[in-house]
Amino acid sequence: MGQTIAEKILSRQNVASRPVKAGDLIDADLNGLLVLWWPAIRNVYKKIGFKNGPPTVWDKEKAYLMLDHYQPPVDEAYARGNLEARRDAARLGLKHFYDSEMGISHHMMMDYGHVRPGELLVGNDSHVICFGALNAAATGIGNDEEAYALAFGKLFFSVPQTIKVVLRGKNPNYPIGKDIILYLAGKYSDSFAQNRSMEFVGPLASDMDLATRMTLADHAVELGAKFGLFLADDKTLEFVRARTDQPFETTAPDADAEYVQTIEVDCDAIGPQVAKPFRFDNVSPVGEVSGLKVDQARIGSCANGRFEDIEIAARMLKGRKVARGVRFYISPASMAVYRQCAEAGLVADLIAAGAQFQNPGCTICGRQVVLNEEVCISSTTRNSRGRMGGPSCSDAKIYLAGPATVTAAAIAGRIVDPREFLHD
Amino acid sequence: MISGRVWKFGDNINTDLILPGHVMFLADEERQRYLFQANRPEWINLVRQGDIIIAGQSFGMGSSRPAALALRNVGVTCVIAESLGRLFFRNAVNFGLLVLECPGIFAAFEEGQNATVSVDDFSVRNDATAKTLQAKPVPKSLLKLMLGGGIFPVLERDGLIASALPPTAAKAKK
Repeated sequence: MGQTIAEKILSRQNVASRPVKAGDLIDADLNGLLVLWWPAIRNVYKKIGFKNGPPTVWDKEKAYLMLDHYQPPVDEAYARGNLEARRDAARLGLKHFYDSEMGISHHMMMDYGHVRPGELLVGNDSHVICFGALNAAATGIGNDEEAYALAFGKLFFSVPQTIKVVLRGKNPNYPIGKDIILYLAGKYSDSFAQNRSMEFVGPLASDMDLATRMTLADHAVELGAKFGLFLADDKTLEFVRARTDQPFETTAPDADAEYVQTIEVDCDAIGPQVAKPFRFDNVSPVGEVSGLKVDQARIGSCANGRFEDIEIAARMLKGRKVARGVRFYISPASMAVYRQCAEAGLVADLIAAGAQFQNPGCTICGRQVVLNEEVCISSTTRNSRGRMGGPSCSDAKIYLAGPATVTAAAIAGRIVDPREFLHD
Repeated sequence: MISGRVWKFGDNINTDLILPGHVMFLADEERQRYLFQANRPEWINLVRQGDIIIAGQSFGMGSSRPAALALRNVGVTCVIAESLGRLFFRNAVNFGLLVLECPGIFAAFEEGQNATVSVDDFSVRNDATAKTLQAKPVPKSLLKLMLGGGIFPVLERDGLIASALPPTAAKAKK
């Protein structure tokens, strides 16, 4: 019997050097480890007797320490965490240390060439799964386990079953990743891929740009998945080879690989989708919520913070303005994306149209407040109660949608079908 | 055998509800006061050592934050759900919290009833109705971590890491 991508990668990394199949429980060697939340990791070491943090790491070249999420710090504790990381990175001799750079670490990993096809990586953030856009198997772990991985470079994995998602249809003239994943959540529930690997294939998967693949791979975790994988093609190789000269092994499933489920999606029939409060799978076509007044509109996060997600906003706002009474926030996924937007003139155009740029990072997806009285439409990752502002804001209404739908709402001041702004 | 009073939670109890993101940077003891603040704010004042949580689908889905640790720290000894978020499951293993998937569990219990769980055969009994359900078995190597206090206490007992004894005791040992 042939193997899925997950089975192939986990076979290659299996400590016991044996091929694996879905259901096996194995120990696997990691190709890379993204480390964030350094104070938390340091604290784990402190609790087990290493008061100055890790005495050593398993591999100085494979542990990537990034201080991200909320940079630059606005409180002393966070700044102190950066300082400790700076000192520890030097003491440990880490080759890859990104010192309090504004951005989302999992996107910085891809932008700096630390994610390569066919690799197995983990990190202490659930959205590292987005590396699957580049054909890498990646999944999130917690802090204690992260500390363990940093010391030993290997972890237990149960080899997942795989759901094959065959995407058909044409690329529309706006980013469609969010609409596809919300459609899947709405139809199959937000846990249907629980603990499974997802493979996104088919003609549209090949046609779509990497940014759209990143949206789908990132959101695989919102469907419960362990991995969200694409094949490596010319687009993947061009992106990766421009960023690294490390060798890698692209990984495709065998023709007779075994899937637990195969889903065919006609993406032409989907149209813009919206997830209503307070669940990712509380989804309807945009028409069902159109007319709802919005107070905030947001584009950003690891799900939709790439150049293409911001370019659509600039294109739709050309000759138009953000509606009075709407705060339209844009946060690029990384400094690399920010620079790309600046070089293309998008930043100036969007600011002139009334949008507000904020630091690359994770603030836009969580810490930034939506009050109970407010409605926010956002291209970010989650819309559960209290997601934006904490438990005292648990009635704040967060609608998730793709960047075109978010921009349309920013222009109209209410939720509308973005296609009415895309014809001209 | 683990036995305790049951709290019931529904489907899709995600990490934003269990442990909100904005308290991530607080110390463990402070952080756990925010458990379920968005959906069930009074619970934290009512939970007792030894209590058991019974939940619906996908309990713990979402982020990597240490929700399992916070539950363990306030006295929860076991979480039994129709299904579990995968990252929550990993965290539970590594933080030493017994968590089980058990189809049918949600309908089998009323809140406040007593549950008895066997980690030998993974049976779950409702002591009020005497109905017994079968949870999915947890592999032995993972069960050892769950019941042994989590990854570091187990490594320490296995002699794989230095003991985290207080400094004076460590010195005396040398």
